[in-house]
Amino acid sequence: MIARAFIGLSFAVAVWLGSAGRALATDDYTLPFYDPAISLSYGVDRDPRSCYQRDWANVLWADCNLHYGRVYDGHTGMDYPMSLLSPIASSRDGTVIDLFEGFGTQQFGINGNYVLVSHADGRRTLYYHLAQNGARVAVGQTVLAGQWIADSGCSGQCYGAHLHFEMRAVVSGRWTSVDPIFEQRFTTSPGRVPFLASYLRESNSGTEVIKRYTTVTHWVEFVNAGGRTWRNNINAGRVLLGTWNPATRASAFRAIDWPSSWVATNVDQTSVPPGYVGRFTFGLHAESPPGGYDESFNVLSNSLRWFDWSRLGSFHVPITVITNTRFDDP
Amino acid sequence: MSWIGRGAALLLLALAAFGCDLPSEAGRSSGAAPSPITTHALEVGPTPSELASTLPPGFPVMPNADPSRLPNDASVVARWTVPGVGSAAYDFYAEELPKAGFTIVGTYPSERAALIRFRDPRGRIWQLLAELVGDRTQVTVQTDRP
Repeated sequence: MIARAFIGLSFAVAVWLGSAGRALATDDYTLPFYDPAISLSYGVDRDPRSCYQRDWANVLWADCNLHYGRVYDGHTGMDYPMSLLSPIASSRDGTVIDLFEGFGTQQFGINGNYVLVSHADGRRTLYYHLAQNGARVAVGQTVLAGQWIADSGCSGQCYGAHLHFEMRAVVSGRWTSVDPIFEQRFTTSPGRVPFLASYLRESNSGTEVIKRYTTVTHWVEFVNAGGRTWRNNINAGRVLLGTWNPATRASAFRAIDWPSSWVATNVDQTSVPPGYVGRFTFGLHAESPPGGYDESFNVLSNSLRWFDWSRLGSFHVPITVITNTRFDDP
Repeated sequence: MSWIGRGAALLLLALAAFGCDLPSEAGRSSGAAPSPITTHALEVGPTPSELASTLPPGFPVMPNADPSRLPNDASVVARWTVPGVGSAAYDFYAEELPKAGFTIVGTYPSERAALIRFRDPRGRIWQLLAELVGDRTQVTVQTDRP
């Protein structure tokens, strides 16, 4: 069995290397949660035989054991451990076609709470073991990729809080669970959370010194480390830079180019695919009296989700306003 | 909280070897009282060489644990059942193992069972498996494997 597993692993590596040059599919599926620290417990078993398991990397296990991080026999979805009441995100744009939320959050039994979403490509995604009253959507509702649709739980046949995420497609006329990792249905392999960014650099990483009543231009660049393409030409989901600590705070340094009192700018580029760098350029206008200030900003996928600020390097701009002798009293 | 001593798994092994199970009532205790497993463990007194193949020292056992017969699998060092089903065993060990000085390496809950990989203070990695058997949760401690 070890030898078979090794051969399977070698094949998996070959598949992986072969896919390295594959163009990124944009706006495909993403992981159905926001926390990038969550990793796979068990994936889909792609071998229909009992006690033969073929995992997402195409490794074959000729036994009935659980193989953590890989697969267990007969598994139809992907299990992700997470604390109770963690936010669950829609993996792609779609329409909610069914849900149940009446079982207790940790009520053990044959059935559990779920949300079922239908997508434009004909596939469906299932979000299972949800909390009691954990659905944040209604049947018939349109949802966007990355939208918070439910809270996690441990209802149904569940031995520890986790999300069972399942993708289904019609195969030979029947709804069948498929493996999104192996089929590379995620925008990025082996899958990323929808919204994530990491700090790259900015025009001035020190203190911006602004003469009172004047404006300076500042820019910052973040790497799109999530699974969704950043866009600036849509409404819901538009990626923008907003004030932070607290969120949506009206800024005293709003310049004339700001879209609103708390939105410094949308992402500069029309489209920033996963892995690419997005730049945010905005003005800082000083009306405040001379002194030291600090403005914090975070990235928002509009009406969907604020990004993890700590992963943006806790982005903030120290500002010193100095006297403008042309207008200020000496 | 009850604690299993070094000899507890030895007792389980002995029970398996002799093909007998503890009467269910004899193997239960209240949550606050020391587990009967601990009592037996004190009586048995394992040798150092025997300890090497048993539970890591200081390993916590849930209240009301009943020892189970060991399977014919050298990687399994101890097995018992506790009342109840669902996530109680997983939740217990996710909380108690770190308190007892063990480091959780990974948690892998699912619909079939819950697996926790943990490292003992000497650096050895073990697996704890919680799964449904009848109307109880069976807990198995085994050596690490992929």
